[in-house]
Amino acid sequence: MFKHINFPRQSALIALCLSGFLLTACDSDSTDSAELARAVELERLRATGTIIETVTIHGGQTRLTASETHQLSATGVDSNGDTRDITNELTWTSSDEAIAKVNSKGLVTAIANSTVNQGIVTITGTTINDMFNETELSVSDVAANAIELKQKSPETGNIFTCIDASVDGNVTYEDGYISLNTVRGMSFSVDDMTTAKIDDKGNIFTSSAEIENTIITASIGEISDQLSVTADPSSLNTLAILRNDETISLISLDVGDRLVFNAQATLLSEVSEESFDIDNSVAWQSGNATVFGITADGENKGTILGLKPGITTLSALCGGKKISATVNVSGEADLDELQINDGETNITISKNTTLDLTLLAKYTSETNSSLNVSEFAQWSLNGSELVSAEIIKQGTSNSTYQLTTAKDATGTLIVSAIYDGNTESVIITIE
Amino acid sequence: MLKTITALLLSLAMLASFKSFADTPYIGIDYILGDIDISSENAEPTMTAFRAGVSNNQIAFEAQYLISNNSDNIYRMEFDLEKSVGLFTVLQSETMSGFRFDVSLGYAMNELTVSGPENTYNSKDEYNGFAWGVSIQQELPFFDKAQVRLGYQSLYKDSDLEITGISLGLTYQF
Repeated sequence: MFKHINFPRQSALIALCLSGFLLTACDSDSTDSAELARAVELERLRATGTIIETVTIHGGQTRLTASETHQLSATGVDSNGDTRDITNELTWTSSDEAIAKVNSKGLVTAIANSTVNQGIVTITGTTINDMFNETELSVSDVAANAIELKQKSPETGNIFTCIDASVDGNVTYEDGYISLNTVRGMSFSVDDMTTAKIDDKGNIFTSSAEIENTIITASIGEISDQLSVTADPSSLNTLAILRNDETISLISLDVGDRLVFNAQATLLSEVSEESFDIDNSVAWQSGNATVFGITADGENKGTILGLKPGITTLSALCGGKKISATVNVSGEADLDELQINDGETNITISKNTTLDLTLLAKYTSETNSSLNVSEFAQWSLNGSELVSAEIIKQGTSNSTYQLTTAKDATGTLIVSAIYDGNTESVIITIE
Repeated sequence: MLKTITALLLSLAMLASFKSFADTPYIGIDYILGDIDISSENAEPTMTAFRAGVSNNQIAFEAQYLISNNSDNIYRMEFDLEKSVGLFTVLQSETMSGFRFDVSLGYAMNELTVSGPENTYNSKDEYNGFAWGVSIQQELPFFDKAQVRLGYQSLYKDSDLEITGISLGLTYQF
């Protein structure tokens, strides 16, 4: 019935390959499958009770200028009554992408300044089940003409000393647009007579043992506003020193080891049961600065470096409270000599440049031959005004004493470093 | 439209191949445990597949018709792969001790019906495209024209949906 015929194998394989290519290109439109996938996802949310029933968008009514970005966020209440962050679950859209675009994570990018309708665009966030909310943003470079500074956290009353607080403001622009609850474009300052510090996000850090009134000034160009805040330490209860999120009272390390510590505070139980991170407000203290050094400021604040064998204390102080932990530094640290950079005694640099000086403590021990102690030495410019200087990269093994020459200054100066009773100097010539 | 035309052309090409180079025809029947994977959820309907083809020099051209036995649900949505028609080119290994390994490449037209409450999804949709499969076959003792076949098939795949199946059945070679 079926006759045997020799099959041309090469032709068959070629035909096969061609068929494969053609077939690969023949997939049907996936629109239906996308809709079906969405329907399944909706069913999953319904079944687990996590389908969103109300959407709230946060961070709207803010003015941007072209090329700036602004992160919106959204929370939703689901069918179980639980609130969750749904920023990444929403489909975000902009009413005018020529003025501002928004990505799938709610990040708005201002594209072009506009004076039409105060440069307002509407940003909409829609859930998979078509629940949505919208907010508006404005993109314009019209100048601000008023700031109304206010407490953000806590919204009213005194702030708790040592606990991070914050301010923001409403900014009115010349075209009448009001940007709400923003710190965009503001520069902040606090009066010098208090312990308070403020960062560029309007976060306030306080540490006084007494009630302290601080005047905060926010400025946008020539426009400014002031706000008086009162930091009250009376509700502060306890402090704790933390290593890897665990409270500790005994610290052991070797010479040359670097460990990072955090500080936490609690308030009186009738005020709050929470624990608060107070890394920005706490002051760290070494019981004996020759045994270990501690980074007191900057992003590595709270980092200690074992310098010499011995036992002493590490203390955290804030708002009149103090907590200490015992520090036991082991190892050998018999100082042989100090060395600045590669050991040269004369360094020549060009004017209007910077120079990094590193102080190495060189030990007789073979196991621990040298240690960068730049951060924990006493540096001196010996009265010279040819350069300004600061310690950079604090809390790291790359910390240096950075010299920046005064504008167009030339001349010679001697820079000295004193560490553990020894002095090392270098002559700097600026040409 | 383009897809339909392409499928028809390929079908004609295969039929022409059958006619010109036919050698060993065969038929088969399989029980298929399907897997419809969508939005990280799975429905597992069962189907019956009927296969017919001709093989020559370790290449076969095969047509497959698949009908639904049972539907399966994802939450309140019922998934039924009502039917699937596929045309495949099958690359066959040498038969050693009655054992053979096949790889099939082709095109499948799948009709998927999804039903559920009004606010879900109710539609009969076609998902057509590239399909492929692998299978192993073992001749039955004392009856070397019949083989037991165990296979895996991918009938459709896009970024949202994947339709696959594990099949177990018999093949009879004339």
